[in-house]
Formats: sequence, C-alpha cells, structure tokens
Amino acid sequence: MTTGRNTLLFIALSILTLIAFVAQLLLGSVQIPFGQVVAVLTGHHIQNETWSNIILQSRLPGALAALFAGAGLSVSGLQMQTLFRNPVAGPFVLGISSGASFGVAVFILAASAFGLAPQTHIISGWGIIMAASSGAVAIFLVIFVLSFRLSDVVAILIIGLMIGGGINAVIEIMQSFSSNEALKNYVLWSFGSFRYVDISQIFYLVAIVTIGCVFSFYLSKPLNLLLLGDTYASSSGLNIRPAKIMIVLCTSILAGSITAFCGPIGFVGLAVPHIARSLFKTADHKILTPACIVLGACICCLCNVLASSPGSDYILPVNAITSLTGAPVVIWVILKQKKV
Amino acid sequence: MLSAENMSIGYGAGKQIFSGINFSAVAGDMIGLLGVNGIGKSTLLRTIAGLQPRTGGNMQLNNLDIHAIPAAERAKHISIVLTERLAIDNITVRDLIALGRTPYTGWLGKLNDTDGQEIENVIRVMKIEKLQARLFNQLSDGEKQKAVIARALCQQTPLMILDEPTAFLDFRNKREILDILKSISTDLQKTIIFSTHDIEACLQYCNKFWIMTETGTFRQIKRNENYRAEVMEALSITV
Repeated sequence: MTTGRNTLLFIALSILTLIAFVAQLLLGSVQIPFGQVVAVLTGHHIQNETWSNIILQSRLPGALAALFAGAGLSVSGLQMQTLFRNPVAGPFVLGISSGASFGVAVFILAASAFGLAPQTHIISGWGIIMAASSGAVAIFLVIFVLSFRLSDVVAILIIGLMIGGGINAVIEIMQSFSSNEALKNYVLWSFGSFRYVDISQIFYLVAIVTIGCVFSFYLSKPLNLLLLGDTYASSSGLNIRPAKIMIVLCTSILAGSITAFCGPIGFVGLAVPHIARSLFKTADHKILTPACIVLGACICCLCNVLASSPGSDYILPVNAITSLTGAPVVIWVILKQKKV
Repeated sequence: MLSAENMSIGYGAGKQIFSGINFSAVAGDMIGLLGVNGIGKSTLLRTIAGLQPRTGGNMQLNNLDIHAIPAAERAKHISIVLTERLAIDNITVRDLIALGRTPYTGWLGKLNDTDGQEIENVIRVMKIEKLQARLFNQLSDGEKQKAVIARALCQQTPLMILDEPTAFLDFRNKREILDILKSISTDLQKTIIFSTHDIEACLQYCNKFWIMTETGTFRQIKRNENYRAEVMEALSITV
C-alpha cells in the first residue's frame, strides 16, 4: 500500500527532475531552439558555434552541477539532522559553509591584502576549491570534536552558530583591507552558482557526489538506529563511535566538496529532508536517502532555471533563490506538522 | 542465568558510585529495583545492560561476560527501555517496533519473513493492533510506552531492562504496563528488571526486589512470607 504510493512518488519526482534538468539546457539568456540543443547534445555538429559552446561549456556543466549538488546537499542535510537529532541542523548551521567561506576569504582577500592576489577567473579555479575544502574540513572537525564532549545537541548548534558568526566577523575585517577586485571575486563566490563549475571540473563533482550518495545507502541502518538516540542505538547493537565517524565523514565530504565547487548554496540541505519526510511520511533512511537525492536534484535544477532568469540578461545569485524557496517551505512544513 | 558477584559500578576508578553488588536472577523473574534518587539505579541498569563497563567484580549472563562481547552480539541478549522520551517525527508504531529486529537484519536492515512474523507476534502480545499504523508522535504517553516496550520485546532477548517504565503514567496505564510486563516474564519466560519509585506496585507485581540502600549496601529480597516487611525495613533505613 505505502510501497505503491512511494513508487508512484519516486516516478513522478524523477520525471519532474528530468524536465527540470532539460529546462536548464533549453532556457537561458540566449534563446536556442530545442532541435539545435538536442543536436548538440547527441553529438551532432551545428552551424552556430556560439550556441554549441553555450550548451556544452556553460549550460551542461551547470545543469549537471545543479543536479548533483542538489542531491548531495540534501543527503548531507538529512544525515546531519539525524546525527545531531535536530531538525534545524544542516551544512549552514554546523559551520561547513562558514568554514568554506573562511578558506575562500583567506585565499582571495588575505592574498590581495598582502599583494599576492592571483589574477582573473579566480572564482572558478582549483585554488578556490582547495581553499574552500580545507576551510570546511577544519571548521567541521572543530565542531565534531566538540560534539563528542557535549552531549547536548542544542549546545553544539549554538557553538556552530557562534563559530559561524565569529568567522563572518573575521571575513568582514579582511574585506575592509582588500582590493575592489578581490572583494568582488569573494562576493561573487559567496552568491553561490552552479556555473562556476566548468567542464573540466564537473567530472570530479559528479564522482564525489555519486560516491557519497552510494555510501549513504550503506549508512541507512545506523542512521535509522540513531533516530532512537545513542543509548537505544547502542543497546540495539550499533557501535556508536565508528558509525558516527562514518556518517560525519560522508556528510562533510558531500557538503564540503559541493560548497567548494559551487559556493554556499543555502537552505537546500535544511529544507529538502523536511519535504522528503513530509511527502513520503516516513523516518526510514532507506526511503529518505533516495527521496532526498531525487527531491534535492529536482529543486536545485528548478532554482538554477529561475536564477538564469530566462529571457533576460540577468543572472541571479543561486544562493538567494534557494533561500527564497527553501525558507517558506520549512515554515510551511513546520506549520503543517503542528496542525496535525 | 544472570548473576553478579561483588560488582561495583561507576565511571572509572575515581568515580565509584556503588559497590558490593550481589544478585542472581532466572528466567521468569520480575525484579523491582528500588532506591532513592541519585543512588545509582540508572547506572546499575546501564551496567547490567552492558552499556557501560563495571568498575569491579563479576557479572555473567548465561555464562557470558556481557562487558566483553561486541555490541551486536549483546543486543541479542539484552534489550532496554529508557526513561528519556523518544521524539521521532513521521515514524509509525510498526516501523518503530521493526527497529527492534536490528540485531538480526543485514547491512541495510531489510526485514525478512521471520522478522515480519516476530513483529506480528509482538503486536499481538502487546495488544496494540490498533496502534500499529499510527504515527508514534501522535500517541498518548501510555500508548507510547507500549510501543517502546514492544520495540524492546521485538529484540527477542532473554533479559529486558526498563528504567522507570511507569514514571509518566496515570494509575490505569501504570497497571496496564505492569500487567503486560508480568505476563511477558511469566508467559514468555523472560527476566525483567525495572527501576521504580512506586513501592506498592512493586511489592504487588515483583517476585524479587533489589534494593540500593542509603547506607551503601545492596540487598536482594525474594518474595517469601515476610517479604513486605523486609523490603520496607531495607527502605526505611534509607528514608
């Protein structure tokens, strides 16, 4: 009965995701006819070289990045919410994003303050990716180590927020010392975008997210047990510490690498698990993990289409679009739950 | 089957909480653990459950040293019900009970026919057929407690440990839970150990009493012709 309903939901969401994915390839500031897009994607040569470039160099990697970043961030958010037993846990709250921002800020801003600024196209380079990754890992490790000392999840969340606040303050100070060029680069990165990922990098993002998501399926059983809390989980036969380390590893690799490649993408990791629970009416990670993958991919693809504001020359910050769509959804989910 | 000799409990050598614990229990025993707040009842229960190491002495369950076997193996021998209240969104009672099958399922936690039958079995024993499809978070306190006990029962362990299982419940629910526990211990021949502050109910239902007295001695009293007076005497030292 419920399995049938879930299957239908999965099929419907997959179709929606496919449509949203294709929409990313079709829509943009430059109008390209459907037939031409298909021709380029199926490997045919078309007359208009520019169109071919737009699709293969910009829209396709961007669309893939949205697809995989959405899936990965959502799974990461789901795992953090279960791990910390807190509905407002997510990459943003627990410092991964502020850690990544810190790494990037040091890389762009501090380098410029010391006159070492790397030159143009800085926001898509491997340097940024490495800087963001190390920042994310460093901050998350701090919070993770603290979480073993503090059993109170609220305390951990508050510490996460405080560290984030402190980091933002340091970044602001760095901003006031840096050049206009560096400042602009940093702000552009902090807007978040699936377009920074170029065709040579997309392979790595796809590979990391795929590995992370497959790994997540193996974590379904420990995650389900952790819903009961550490003591029950342990009495049910789970080795708490190794299980938690695996989960943290998985979630921080996913969120950290996605933030490194795409910049901070707000609210997806927080909102999608709530939508998934509400749609599929379950707490079982065997269902929630694939649900988050499909829903997250779908939502990020749609947000990417919105951000490209088809028909105009404007490109809106993806981070703003995901936050604008995510925040009301979270409020709606909470209100809906309380009403029942 | 379960026995302790001169066992001490606590958190490391420097933080001994209680020592000189001697007890024995067999299948079918329903044991009430009594003592004032803060004396170490929960710590003792956690230690018996293998969730924290003992700080001295010996304890054995069916010739096994519970503190020396892996968690996955231990979960087939001991199940627990905690005082802390569960808050899980969007989980049905049936899915919660199914989590009790964890020690027997594979890496993904998929249930086979045997697991399904055991879940049905437990739902029948606990008389919660009507609750199984409902969401756990929407149940009353009494119903929640039944669901949580059902999860533990589903673990099919010879020993069940419950920390104040009736603490939040009204009179009727308290009776009902204790009746269920009694029938689990006698009909299914399991050993049940639970802590409580409800001395009257404990005297009425249990056949064995473990008392952590305020003078620091551990007493095991069996149900005999004089048990009521003995329990009261052991406790009155603590008052």
